[in-house]
Amino acid sequence: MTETIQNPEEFLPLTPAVFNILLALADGEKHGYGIMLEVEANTKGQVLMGPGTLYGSIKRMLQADLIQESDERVDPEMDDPRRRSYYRLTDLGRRALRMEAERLASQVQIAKIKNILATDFSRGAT
Amino acid sequence: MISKPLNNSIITVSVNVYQTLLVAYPTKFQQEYGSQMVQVFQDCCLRALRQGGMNGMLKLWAVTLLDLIQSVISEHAQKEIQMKKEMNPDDIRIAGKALMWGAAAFVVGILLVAIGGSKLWGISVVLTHLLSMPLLVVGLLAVRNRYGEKIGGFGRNILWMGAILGPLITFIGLVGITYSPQPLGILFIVGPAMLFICLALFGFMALYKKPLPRWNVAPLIAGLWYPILIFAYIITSMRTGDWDGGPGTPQWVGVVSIVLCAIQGIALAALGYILKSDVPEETAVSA
Repeated sequence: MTETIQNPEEFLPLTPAVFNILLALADGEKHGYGIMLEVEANTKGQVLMGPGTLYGSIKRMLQADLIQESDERVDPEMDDPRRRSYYRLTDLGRRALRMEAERLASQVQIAKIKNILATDFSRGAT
Repeated sequence: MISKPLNNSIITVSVNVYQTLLVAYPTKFQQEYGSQMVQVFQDCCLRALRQGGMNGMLKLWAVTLLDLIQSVISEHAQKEIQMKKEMNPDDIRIAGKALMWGAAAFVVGILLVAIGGSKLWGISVVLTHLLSMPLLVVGLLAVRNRYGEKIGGFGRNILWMGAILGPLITFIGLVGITYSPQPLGILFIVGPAMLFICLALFGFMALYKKPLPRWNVAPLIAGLWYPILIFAYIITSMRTGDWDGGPGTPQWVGVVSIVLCAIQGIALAALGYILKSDVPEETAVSA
């Protein structure tokens, strides 16, 4: 039996698709369509993920052990009797998400120090 | 406002078209995620139609087609990378040995026909075509797989082409030789030449890109001589009208041919040895 070395830093920087999927799963397991809706809502429609990108990313994230498939069941909130595969974060996925969020936050911090954000905000406000 | 039955038929047609388009993905990906992708696309259709009507559907299709093209390319590229990574060390060793045995069979076959003439033609054909060619194809495909990433697209594709065209042309020649020895039968010797031309072109690229751990000149030497000899034979025979290498052929031609084919065989065996001994290190650690 073999096991791969698991260091979340190896995955950084995450691609926008992977980051958004991990973020969508941060507060609980979801099925593919649920992830898609959450990503769209979180990004205010700026990231539109089609089924190909979504499941291509899910495949690679499963292989990398960033997420895992939990089970198949019917979504009680949807008017659809078909069963759906649900996905959830692994510990590795959560650590990778946290590290990527910290990395992005530090970039935002630099932007603030350089007055980039303040300038943009004032422009947006006027 | 669109009526409900029309809505349903738009969704059904869209889903069926999308399901058909999924054949563009690698088979394994289709099998694993195809049904889930169709399910999600159907959900998207319902929402698009409910929120935006026909315009919503058109926008959904535009986004979906773009996504389909991007992800199909990405999945096929991933599949290729995966295949390279997953080539089993034992398979590489076997392919290296196949190349070495193929080289030996090829050289012995050439020597037999050079020494024994038409009496040993049958055994020679078995060795050079029926035995050697499949072994060489296995070996060269493994070379492509192992060193394709370093050599680039042209090198990869040219070996792929050789592995397909070589046996194909030989087979056409084998069928053709029973009906018309000239010109169809010529394809019987042109087939291996095509395989080796492609290897020689790979060899030219190898001189420049140096993908092998050593002896980067080996693929060029391993591919060059047989096509040159065959080309010279065809040109001479067309000029003289003698396709049987009659008594007018100087003896030194035969000697040079044997020496060049032997050099080619040694280079092929060297390439097989490089492949056999250059097995990648394990990327995973044992638990």
